[in-house]
Amino acid sequence: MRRARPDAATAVLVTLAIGGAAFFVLPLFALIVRAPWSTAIGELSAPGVAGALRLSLVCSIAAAALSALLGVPLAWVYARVPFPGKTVVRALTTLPMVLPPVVGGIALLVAFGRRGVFGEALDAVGVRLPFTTAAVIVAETFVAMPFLVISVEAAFRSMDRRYEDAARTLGASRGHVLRTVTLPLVAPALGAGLVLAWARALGEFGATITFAGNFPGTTQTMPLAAYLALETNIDTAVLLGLALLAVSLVVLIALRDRFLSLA
Amino acid sequence: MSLEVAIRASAGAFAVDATFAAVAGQTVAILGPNGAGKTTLIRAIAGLVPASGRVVLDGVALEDSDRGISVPTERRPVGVVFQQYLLFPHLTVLDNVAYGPRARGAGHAQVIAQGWLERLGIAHLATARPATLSGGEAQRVALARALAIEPRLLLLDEPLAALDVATRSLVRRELRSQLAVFGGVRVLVTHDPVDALTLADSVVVLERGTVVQQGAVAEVAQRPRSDFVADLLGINLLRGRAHDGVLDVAGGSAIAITAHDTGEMFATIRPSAIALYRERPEGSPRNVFRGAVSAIECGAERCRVRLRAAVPLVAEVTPAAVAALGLVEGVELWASFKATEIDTYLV
Repeated sequence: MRRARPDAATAVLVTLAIGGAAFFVLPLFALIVRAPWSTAIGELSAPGVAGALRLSLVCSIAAAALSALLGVPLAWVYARVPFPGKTVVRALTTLPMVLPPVVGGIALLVAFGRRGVFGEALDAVGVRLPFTTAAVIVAETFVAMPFLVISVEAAFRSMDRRYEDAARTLGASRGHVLRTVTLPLVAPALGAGLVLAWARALGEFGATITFAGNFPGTTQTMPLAAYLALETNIDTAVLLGLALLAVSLVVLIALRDRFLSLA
Repeated sequence: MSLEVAIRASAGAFAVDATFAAVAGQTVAILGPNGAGKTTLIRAIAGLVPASGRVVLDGVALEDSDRGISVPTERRPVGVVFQQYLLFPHLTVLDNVAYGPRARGAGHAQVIAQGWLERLGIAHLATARPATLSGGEAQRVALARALAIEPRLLLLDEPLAALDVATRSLVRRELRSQLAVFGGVRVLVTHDPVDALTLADSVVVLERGTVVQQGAVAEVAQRPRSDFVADLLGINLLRGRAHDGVLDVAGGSAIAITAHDTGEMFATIRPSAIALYRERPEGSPRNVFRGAVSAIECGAERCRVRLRAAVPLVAEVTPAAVAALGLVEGVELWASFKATEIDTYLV
C-alpha cells in the first residue's frame, strides 16, 4: 500500500482543533437554542431590562468618549515626548488590561470612595462618586481606556512624521498640523481603539459592581442585570446574554480587517 | 532676489557644514552620494532641523545664530518638494494643493489650488487621491502644492528618485520647463549627475557633509578638482540637435548616437569610455575626433586628459597609458568612443 495515510500527528491536531472550536461554538449555540424567542420582546422591554440596556449604552459610549479625550493625548505623549520614568508610568496605565477588574474596582473605591484617599477631598467639594452613574462611567473608562491608548500610540509611532514636516513647510502651525494631518492619519487606529474600548466598557462587570454597585436605573448595566437575572428569571439572562453577544459580533465584524485578517 | 547659506546642522548620523549662494531664476544643484548630508542641508534651510549659521533670503535672515534669529518653518517663504513627495494620503489632490494657502489663511484656497493644477496641466486630477497617482503625476502635484504658497525659495529633495527609470527621463524634461515657471531661487538636491547637468545652472558638490567643489555646472564637470568630484560629475556633456541617429553639436561636428529621437538633446559620455590613440584608429567606434592635449591631471590611479578637439573632451586613462603614449600638453591625439557609450536625454 503506497497510498498516503493521514499521519498520527495530523489526526491528533485536527481532533484537538475540532474540540477547540466546539468549546466556543457549543455554549453560544446553547444560548441561541435556549432563548425564549416567543416572549423575547416582552422580556427585553420589561422596565428593569430596558433600563439596564439604556444605561449600558449611555455609560459605555460616555466611557469610550472619555477614553478618547484623555487617551489620545496620553498616547501622543507616550509616542512623542521622552520623560524620565516613562516605562513605569506606561506600564501602570496599561495594567488594567490584565488586572482582574474587581481589583480595579477596589482600587477605585479606596481612592475615590467617601473615606477614600482622595474621596474626602472630593466629598468636601460636593462630589460623591461611588454608587452613582458617574461611577459606572469611571469604572468602565478605567478598564477600557488602555485598549484605546495602545492602539493609538502604535499609530502615532508608526506614522511617517515627514507628513507633519510637509504641512509645516506649507505654513501650518503645530496645532493646525495636529488637527489636519496627524489626527486624520491616526484616525483608523483611533476608530479601532474607540470600538475596542467601547466593547470592553459595554461588557464591564467586576470594576463596575465593586465601585458603582448594583442599583437598577442608576448603576445596573446589562452584564450586572444578566448576572442578577440568573437567580430570578433565566430567560431574561439568556436574552441579555444574546444581546451582548450580538453587539460583540458586530464589533468583531467591524474590526475584521484588523483582527481577523490572515494576510 | 538671492539666497545665501552658511550653516552647520546635524540630524542623526548626518552632519553638514555648507556655504553657498544662489540667485533668483537659477537652479542650484546640491550633488552628492547618499549619506553626504544633502537632505539634512535642505531640511536645515527649511527650518526642520536645528542649525547654526546664517540663511538669508532676499536680505531677510531666516536663520542667524549670532543674532538669535530662527524663523519657524511655517513662517519661512520656502516651498519644499519632498523625496517621495509626501502628498497627504487622506486629502484629494485639490485639497493637497489648497493646504498651504488654507493654512496661511488665504481666502479662496481652492481657487488658488485649481489655478496651480491648471498651470501644471493636472486639473483633471483634482478629485483624485494621492494613492491613485502615477509617479509623474505625484511629482507635479507635489510641485503644485509647494508653489501654491508662492514661496521665494523652492527646495526640491531628489524630485526624480521616486520614479522608475523609464518615467524619470520624461519627468526630468517636464520638470525643466516647470522650474522655469518659478522665478525665485531654486535648490535641487540629487545624487544623479544627470539631474545636475540637465536641470541646474550651478552645482554644489557635497562629500561627507562638506562642500568639496562648487561653481557653474559645466565648469565643475569640465574641471573636477578631486577624483571624488570627477567620479560624481566629471562626465562629458554635449548639447545639440538630434536627428536620424546623429547629434549636431556647436562647431559643426556630428556625433553618432543610438537614440533616434529628434530635437534638442543632451548627451553624456563617461571619460573612461573614451580611448586615446597616437594614430587614427580603424575599428567599430563611430566617433573619432582629432585634437591636442590641453591639460593632464593625474590622481593616484587615473589621469584625466583634456583634449581640445572639434568638441572638447575629457578622457580618463591610467598613468601607465599616459607614459606609454608619451602624453604631454600640446600632443596631437585621436580620441574615439562608441555610440553605445553615449547616454542621451531630450532637453
